[in-house]
Amino acid sequence: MIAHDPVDVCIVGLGAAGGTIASGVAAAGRSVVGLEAGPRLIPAEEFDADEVAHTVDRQLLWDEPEVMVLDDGPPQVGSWLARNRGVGGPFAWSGFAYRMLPSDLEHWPIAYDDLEPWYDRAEVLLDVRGLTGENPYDAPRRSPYPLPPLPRVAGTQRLADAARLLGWHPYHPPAAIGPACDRCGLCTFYGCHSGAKGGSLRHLDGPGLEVRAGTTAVEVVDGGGGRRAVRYLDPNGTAHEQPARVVVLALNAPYVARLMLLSRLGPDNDQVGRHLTFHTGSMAWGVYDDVLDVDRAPAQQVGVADLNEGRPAERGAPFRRGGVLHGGMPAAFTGGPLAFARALDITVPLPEGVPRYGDGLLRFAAHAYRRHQAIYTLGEDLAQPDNRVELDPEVRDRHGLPAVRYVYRPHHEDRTQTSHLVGAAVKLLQSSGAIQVAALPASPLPGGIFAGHAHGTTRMGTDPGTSVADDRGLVHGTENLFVAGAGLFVTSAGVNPLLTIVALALRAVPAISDAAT
Amino acid sequence: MTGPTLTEPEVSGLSAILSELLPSSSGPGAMEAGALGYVRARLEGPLNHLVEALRPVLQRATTDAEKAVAELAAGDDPRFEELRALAWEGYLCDPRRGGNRDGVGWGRFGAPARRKARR
Repeated sequence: MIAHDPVDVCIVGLGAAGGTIASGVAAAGRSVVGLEAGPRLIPAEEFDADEVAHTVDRQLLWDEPEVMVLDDGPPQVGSWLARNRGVGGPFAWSGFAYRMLPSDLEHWPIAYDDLEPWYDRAEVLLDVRGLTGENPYDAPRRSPYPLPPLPRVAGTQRLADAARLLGWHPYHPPAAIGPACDRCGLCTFYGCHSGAKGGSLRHLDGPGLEVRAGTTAVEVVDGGGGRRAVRYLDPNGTAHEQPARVVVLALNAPYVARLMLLSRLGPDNDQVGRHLTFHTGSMAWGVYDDVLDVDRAPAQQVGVADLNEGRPAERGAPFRRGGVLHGGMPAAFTGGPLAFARALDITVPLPEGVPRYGDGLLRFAAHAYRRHQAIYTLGEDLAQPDNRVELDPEVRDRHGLPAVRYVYRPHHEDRTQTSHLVGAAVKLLQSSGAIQVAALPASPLPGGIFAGHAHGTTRMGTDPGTSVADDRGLVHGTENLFVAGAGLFVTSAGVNPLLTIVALALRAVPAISDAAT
Repeated sequence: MTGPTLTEPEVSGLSAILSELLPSSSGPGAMEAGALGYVRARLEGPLNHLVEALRPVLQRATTDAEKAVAELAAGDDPRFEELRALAWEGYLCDPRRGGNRDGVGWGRFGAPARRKARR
């Protein structure tokens, strides 16, 4: 065991939340050590266009065993959650940068007004684009979007036009895509070779912050003298111990819960791991007569939030919480001909009459590649106490630690909501002139292409009996243990989580700095 | 540290399967793209763990590839999706990976050259 000298703050996980906190707390004059399990990536070498590396081998994502127990079924081992690996992530995300709506925060201990100033700052940090006032169901905002919206690919405008004719309110989805974007289209699952895709990578360097890449935290223990200490393994497997006045757990939500369970941390209320949420998700896609080339631009083309709007039930919908449609996306979720062809008949359903292999499939794929667009749906996954993260009793990761086990049962309203969203997507594709349309069965299952987001398991709340941390992430009953990231989310909301993760992290920086004084 | 390799008959069975999955009937198929080189390198490299399960299919395909593929597809055999995914990779990967010879797959799809490929 190598014992290190104490520092003010030790942060575990240097992604969107941890990276933001690390640079903020270091700028406030604290000494910071950041532990990140992933490597330091070298953009010139790893942010390339190799489809095999990024969409087949998924080089920028973790491949560790996780166990899913779905609807009380048998445990299934897989890499269920798409988790970025590397210092300063996320890299491989799509760049959707939404604010939650005031009604999304109804059961949170903070209101929209508490969060809005931090959303403003997060949007500037991430170069967020959008058209202020365009989406009537957007969150209210005092400041305009920092940058104008991305120009649409010509072929996706027809979706916006068709949506308007259907009485909906299409908009340019908020995009964390900076001015350097050269519209290469290899975006989701790739690092950005031009540095345009927003991330915390850019603000991780500075005095007072020491980054230790390739280190895996295994336990948080008492560090003596009122401190805590993080035990971790370096890339050679050597054990270390880093004491700190304050420890911040900023891993992806299920992994914060895992580390707390492994370390027996948190209030004694059986709340750590509970209220796990993902997002509902499905898709439909259409093939047109003409060339659209949707994979020559970032994914943020056409949004429709008429089925989100906070309270769909008040308008007679048979579900309480809604979601959004993202149109003009490549069917495979990311660009590139290989991703497209390889996804056919697996995550992308074939239109009726297209054979599963042979000349018919090849001809269809070669024709449809430039002539299609997809609509992906994303909806709120209702929070339920029995959906949770546990330590798997059998499966272990490469360090011998118990794997994350997801015990998950989608809410029946989530299924109804998803089929409404998919139905709307099909209608939109058909009204926009698609010749062939196919849709995934409305299934809000996590996994595969949809499980990019996990939330909850270390919820914030004012009542220490029913939550894990306060609204700045301070774990109840402690003075120097914080959690950060989407694990704090009380509900998942019907929009992508990243901007809220960064806004909450920025908001927590003063409290963490003060606790380390 | 070398794992299982394919025998010559198995390689010709694999070649027949790739031609069955992505034939050359109406334009360049797996054969013209040199997909076999890529797929063989993957199977004898990072996907070595698949080889034993694939052997019976590859051997069968040396005599009747059409029937071997049809049966895999009809039975929803996971090996069907594995082989089809590999065929697409050999057809559309970056040519530096050993398939998609001269960009023939990209050409058929009308895919623009991606300037940032470095591998």
